[in-house]
Formats: sequence, C-alpha cells, structure tokens
Amino acid sequence: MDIDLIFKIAAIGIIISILNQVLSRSGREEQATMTTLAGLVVVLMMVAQKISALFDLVKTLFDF
Amino acid sequence: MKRLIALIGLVFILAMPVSALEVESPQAPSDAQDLLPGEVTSFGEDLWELFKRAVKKAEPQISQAAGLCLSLTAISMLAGILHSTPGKPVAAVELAGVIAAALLLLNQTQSLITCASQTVVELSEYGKLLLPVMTTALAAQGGITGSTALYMGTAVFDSVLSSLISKLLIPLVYIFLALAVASKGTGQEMLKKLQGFVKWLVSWGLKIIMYIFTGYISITGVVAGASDEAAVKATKLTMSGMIPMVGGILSDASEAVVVGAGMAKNAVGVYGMLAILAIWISPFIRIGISYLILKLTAVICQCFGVKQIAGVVENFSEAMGMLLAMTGACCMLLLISMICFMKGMG
Amino acid sequence: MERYFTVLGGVLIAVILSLSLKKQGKEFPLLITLVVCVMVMVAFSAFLDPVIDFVYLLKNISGIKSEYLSVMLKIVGIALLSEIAAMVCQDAGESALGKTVGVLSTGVILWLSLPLMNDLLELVQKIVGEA
Repeated sequence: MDIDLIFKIAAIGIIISILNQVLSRSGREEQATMTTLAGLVVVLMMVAQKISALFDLVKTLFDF
Repeated sequence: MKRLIALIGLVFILAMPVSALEVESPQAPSDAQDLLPGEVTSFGEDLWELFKRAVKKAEPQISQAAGLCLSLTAISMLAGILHSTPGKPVAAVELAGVIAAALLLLNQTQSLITCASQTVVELSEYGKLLLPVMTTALAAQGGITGSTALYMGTAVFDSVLSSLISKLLIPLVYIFLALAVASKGTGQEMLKKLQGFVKWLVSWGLKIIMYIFTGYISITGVVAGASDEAAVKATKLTMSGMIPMVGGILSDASEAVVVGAGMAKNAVGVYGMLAILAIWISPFIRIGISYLILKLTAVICQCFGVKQIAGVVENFSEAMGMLLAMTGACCMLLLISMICFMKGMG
Repeated sequence: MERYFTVLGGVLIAVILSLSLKKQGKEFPLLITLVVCVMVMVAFSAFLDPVIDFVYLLKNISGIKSEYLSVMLKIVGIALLSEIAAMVCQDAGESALGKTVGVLSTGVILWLSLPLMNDLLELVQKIVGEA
C-alpha cells in the first residue's frame, strides 16, 4: 500500500491548482487549462500503472 | 367372489399338507441376501446383525456424501465473498452458484432416486412371493377367511402404493427439485409456492394410502390387539411425515418391529420380516446419510451468507426425506401384514 | 494484520486529501479515490489468496469438477472488479455509466456460466430420458 503515491498525487493536485490560480490571475487562461490537463495526464499514467497491476493480480488469483 | 376365494384356500390346504415349519419362505433378492444371517436364531439378535452389516455396506456412501458437502461448501464460500456488496452482478453470481450447486447435487441425487424406486419395486416383488406363503401357512392353521382377507388387502394396497410411487410420486420428486432450483435461482415467490404444494402432495398421497390400509386391517377385524398397535404406529409414522422426524421414524419403526418380534415364534414369519427389513435397510441408510449430510451442508452454506445456495441444498435434503418416507411406507405396509399373519398364526 | 491498518490509514488520508482538492474540480479527488480503491483491492486480494488456496484444497479432497470451480472463481473476480468500477462511476456522479458497467458485468457473468447451464440441461435431459 503505497501511501507515498497518494501523497504524490495530492501534491501534484495542489501544485496544479496553485499554478492554475497564478496563470488565470495573470490572464493566461489557455496555459492554465493546459497545465491542468498535463497534470491530469501525469496522474492518470501513474494510476493506470496501478490499475494494470490490479488486473494482473486478479487474473492470477481468480484463474483467468 | 368370497366363496371362490375360500374354495381356493381350501384347495391349498388339501393339496399341501403342511405344518407351519415346513413352508419355505422365498429367497430374498441377492443384495439383501448378503445382509441376512445364515440361520434364523433370535429375532432381536438377527435384527442387530442386519443393521450392523448394512451400516458397513454403506460406508462408501458416506465418503461420497462428504465429498459433495465439501464441494458445495467451496462454491458457497466463493459466492459468499461477494455478499457484502449490493447490486446487479451479485444476483447473477448467485444464479451461477445455484446452478453449480444443482449440478453437483443432481448427480448424486439421481442415483439415490433410482435406488429408492428400485427398492420399492423389490419390496413389492418380494411381497408377491412372500404373501402366498404366509397365506398358506395361516390357512393351514385354520384361519382361512382371515388369511384371504389379509392377503387380498395387502396385495391390493401394496400394488397401489408401489405403482403410485413409481408413476406419480417419483416424478413429483423430480418436479420438486426442478422447482427448487428454478425458484432459488430466480427468486420467484410463485415457484416457491408450487414447490411447497408438490411436497404436500407427496406426503398426502402416502398418508392416505397408509390410513386406508390400516383402516382396512382393523375393519376386517382379522387380528386385534397387537395389530392395532402396529397399525397405529404405522399411521404415526407416515403422519410424522418426512423431514425432521427421521428420528421419529426410526424409533417408531423399531417399536413396530419389536412388536413383531414378540410374535416371532414362527420361523417363516421371522425370516420373511428379516428379508423385508434387509431389502429396505440398506437403501434407507444410504439415503439417510445423504439426507443428514445435506442438511449439515445447508447449515454450513448458510454461514457464508448465500441464502440461495443454502436453500437449494436444503430442498435437496427435503427430497431425500421424501424418498425415505416412500420406501418406509412400503416397508411398513409389508411388515404390518407380516405381523398380522403371525399374530393370526399364534 | 499490519497491512490492514496501513490500508485503513491510507483510505482515511485519501478521503481528507480528496475533500481538500475538491474545490479545483472533481478530477483530482476522483483520481485519488480511484487509486486508493485499486490499492485496497490489491490488499484484499492478498488476504484472499489463502482463502482461495483453501477452496482449491476442498476441491482436491472432494473431487468436484475443476471447471465448475474455475467458473465460479472467474465470476467472483469479475463481479468484484465491476463493483468497484460502478462505485467509482457513481462517485463521479456518472450513475448512468455505473449502472451500465453493472449491466455489462451481469452479461459477462451469464456468458461465463453458460457451460454450467449447458451441463445442467444435459443432465436433466438424461434424467428425463431415463424416467
């Protein structure tokens, strides 16, 4: 159980939201949206790894 | 008609000068033959021997039933893992579990059902052999009308009972099982009610015949006293019906048989009774083991929280109980008439 | 046992973090929820391993056909996964997606239990044929 992963994701989320705020305040809306998207993609990749690990585990355990 | 029968009885007497001991009782079918003791000594001891041998013979059945129990437990454990989460897939999982359980159960149950119907047929066949012998013996001692009335009554009721069982009740047992699987798989209330109706029908059918038979026996007034006692016991037996009363059945059956033992002064009669019991007891133990173990399995499955699977197992065990009642009724019918014959012979 | 406590702690932390991120839009909290659900399931499978070994042991003792057992296992696995997916969808407010996942998994389960139903049908036909 990687608690670190949770914290990493939470940290990325906070950073992204701060960056979002800063960029939108200074008027660069598109860049704000792009950073949010980038952050989402990064987190998704991390999550996807974990999900595929789960599926492999289920496959071996439940005899697929 | 009565005169004709009396005439036939007379012919019997004239044709065969017999004393009771010279009349040979017919051979039991081969499976039962294994169980019978070599010589007919005391009725009580022979009975005990019979019982012990039958139990030994039934040992493979125990391991089979235990295997079935374990596999059912495995399935319900798996299905039970999911039981905490509500939602659509869980219903499908339960359906699959019920089907798997039914598959496992049906295999074993089918062989037991065939065994039960064979036993009924065997009992009936043996009865057909044994009855004329007993009739002759009784008639030889002078109880002509009594013996013919008893013979006719037993023959008629025996054939009615056995054909009822094989043509109606056994198919009803299959229907009961099918309804059980369907109702537990899909959870429909209607099917459950149908299932209960079928069970009631089987029990009622058996009771009616036993009531009429015992009533006939007392009306013809062939024998008094002990036969009424035995008749009462038989009625109680089928009355207590099937399921939780297997213990009741055993105790009542043993009482009835002991009553007969009191009259067992007659070697033919004793051998006949032992043979009937031998035919009956081995299937009884097989089916009884299955019944008990299935009941136990139902309780275990219940612990895992899958009500559907536990319900199916419970229903199969009820079906076993029905089989026990059917074979028991046949056996009791023949035993009672034996007792009446022997009482008449004094 | 340690595992259980770690997992429990992790879930609680995730709840709080997810709540605090909620203001920025629902994606991040949802991702956290998803990750945590996945990790809990991994822990669950770890606990389940000996149980399934026991089930196999029962199968060896009792001689049940291994196809039935493996079908049941697969069905349980699928149901577990689809439950999680459906719950996460519902959390995200996409109850339509969630329910559809449920329907899909029911379909897959029924498809998996086809061999069982076939066997049952054959057995019944055999019995009726004999009777």
